[in-house]
Amino acid sequence: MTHWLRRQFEAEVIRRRTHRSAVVACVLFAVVVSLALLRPGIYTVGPLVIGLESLRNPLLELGAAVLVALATRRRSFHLPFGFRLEPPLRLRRLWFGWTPGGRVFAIVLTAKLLITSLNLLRLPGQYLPSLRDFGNRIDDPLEEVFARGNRYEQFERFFERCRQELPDDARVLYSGRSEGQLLAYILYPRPVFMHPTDRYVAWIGHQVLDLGRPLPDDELFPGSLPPPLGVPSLESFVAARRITHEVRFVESDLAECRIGTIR
Amino acid sequence: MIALLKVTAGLALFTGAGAGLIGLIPGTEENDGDPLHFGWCVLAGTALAALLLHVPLALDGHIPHAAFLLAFCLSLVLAVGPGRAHVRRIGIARFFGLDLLYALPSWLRVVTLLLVLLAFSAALGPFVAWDERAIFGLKARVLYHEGSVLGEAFRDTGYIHIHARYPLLVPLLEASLFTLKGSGDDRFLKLLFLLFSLSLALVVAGEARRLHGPRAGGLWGLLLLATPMLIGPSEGRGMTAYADLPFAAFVTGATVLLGRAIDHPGSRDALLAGLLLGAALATKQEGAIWAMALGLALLVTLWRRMAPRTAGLARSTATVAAPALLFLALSLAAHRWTPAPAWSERYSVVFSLAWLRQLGWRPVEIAPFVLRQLTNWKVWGWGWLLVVTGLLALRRPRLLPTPFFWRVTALAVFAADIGIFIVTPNHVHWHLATAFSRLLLHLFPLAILILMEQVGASGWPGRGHAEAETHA
Repeated sequence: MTHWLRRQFEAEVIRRRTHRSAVVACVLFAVVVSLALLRPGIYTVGPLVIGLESLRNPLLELGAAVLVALATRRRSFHLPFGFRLEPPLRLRRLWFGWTPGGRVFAIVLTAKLLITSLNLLRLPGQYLPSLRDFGNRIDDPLEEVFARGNRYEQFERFFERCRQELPDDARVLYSGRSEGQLLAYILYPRPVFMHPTDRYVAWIGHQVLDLGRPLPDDELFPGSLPPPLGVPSLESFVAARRITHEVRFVESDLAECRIGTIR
Repeated sequence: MIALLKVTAGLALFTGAGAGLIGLIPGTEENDGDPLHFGWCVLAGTALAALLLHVPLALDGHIPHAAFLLAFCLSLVLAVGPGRAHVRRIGIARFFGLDLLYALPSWLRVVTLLLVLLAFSAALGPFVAWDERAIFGLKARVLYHEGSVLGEAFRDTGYIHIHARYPLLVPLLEASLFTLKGSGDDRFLKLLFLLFSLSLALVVAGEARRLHGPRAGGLWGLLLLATPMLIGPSEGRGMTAYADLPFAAFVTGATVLLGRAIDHPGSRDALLAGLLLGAALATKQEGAIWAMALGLALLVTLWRRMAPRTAGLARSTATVAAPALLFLALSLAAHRWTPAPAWSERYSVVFSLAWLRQLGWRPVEIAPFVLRQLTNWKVWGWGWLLVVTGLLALRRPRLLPTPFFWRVTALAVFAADIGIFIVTPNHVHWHLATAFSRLLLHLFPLAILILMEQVGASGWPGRGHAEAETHA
């Protein structure tokens, strides 16, 4: 009896200390999460170098600390996370009370909850790029960016250069593919135009070439038809819109990309 | 930081306007089990603001900054008057759905709060996805800077502005926030879409609470919110500034309210349902599909029930149709100056017999893609698998009119969506890849509601199958 009491006392002491440490950890990690959110970067604390460029790890650590703090509350010490023995026993009783359909649903629901947990763990890593465009690579030279071969990164970086170099009153003619749609947003209020033939080819290319598929062998498919009739010549298109500058983007070929004036 | 505060204030004003509008409609307080909470107020407020902002555009194609500010002033008046009274009547905790949160086990509360915190942090960033910039963001910037749809961005087909004739609800809301910020900088604007995500989850959770209590409400709401397609940041998902999530919120809200109006014809739910349906029509062109599906489902439900209260039903139908048609008319009028793309007439091929005759294999061609999409765990977290399993595996008593109405609506919309891919003149794999998951996003909250009702009616997991069999 004395032995049992001593063990209970020791368990209570351990619970209390664990709980207290977990609460302190919660506060600490909440500060770290705030720091990673508001001022991401690499911090040096004495001999330690702490990378707070991602929210993922601080959030996971905060979550773990909170769960430990909850699990070691006085009420639910017997098993972690507030589980007691009754639920598994009740689940067993339920399982044998269910129809086969109910059991199938229970299995799919369990699998769905596991998948959801997995998805939630992946979420912080997915959010990071939307917090900072292309992470730390924003200062890389364009040559390196083009050498890496990522089309999206190439045109995003090239368009950023266009935004910086083109004058505020520029009126722009774009040559390239469907990514010109993004250039129009990035350069706004500078207007960005595309010749109808180029635009038509870009639109079809957007549908087909981006997927790496051939054009359907079908003359009724709109992309199989020639570009619209009655389009103006490039010269008259440029003159009618008083276009002053040209931007050309060619994937993976920086030498062919161009930001220039039109005379 | 000031810009963040301004955007937050703008969103609070939208919500306050919704609360004010709901507070003004008689009979609001009699909602049983699910008061018209924060989620409903966000939807009603954004719809009302967008309706008002469409008026100057529809009249002469211009929308000066004063119009945006006037809409905010009106929102403020609504918020501090009937809005505040509405919140008091419900109580702060129920208004913000805190009772749903408290009903969850403590560790799930932590998960929910972490999820919202994480989404909030992501919503502070700039626009980086495609359509949020190329389609909606560009329109918003033009509306903010030029205050008009008569400039070259909308009227010159040589300008790179894809889908210039898309409905303008989302760009108008974004332009309102630009006006409040005083710049066209897109940082913090994704908070608007986080608000729609949370509102959608709250609407579903509120309906689950109404039918099965707060704990069920909290669990179903969290299950929906934790779906990657709803809370994820990749192209087309909830945390990008695409129009799909607001659209899903509007159509789900309209369907839920119409379902309630079937049981109580002539109630205020019909008016709000009409407003949300109109907002859906002004958000995406798929609104027309939903309007037709809802109409069809309503007819089938009434036919099945053989409802004799024709006068009440006619009044309800008129109440739904009036705001929806007003919204649609304003949305169409705002686009009358914008020309169609130069090659759009080529899409008329879908009406030719020669084209339709050769589409026999299309269903077989698209079926594998559809199945892959429905079972994609990275996009849906097996949500669709759970819905289908629940509907097929669980036994239940006879369907009541409201869940029957939901099911017919969902089936009609799904059939129409599949029909579009069968006849599309675009490259079918491209079209599926770019649009199918987003169309499913519109349906997913309703599918979760249908599953929730099925699970509750079957008695799973607690009371066992015996009760369900007795009812059957």
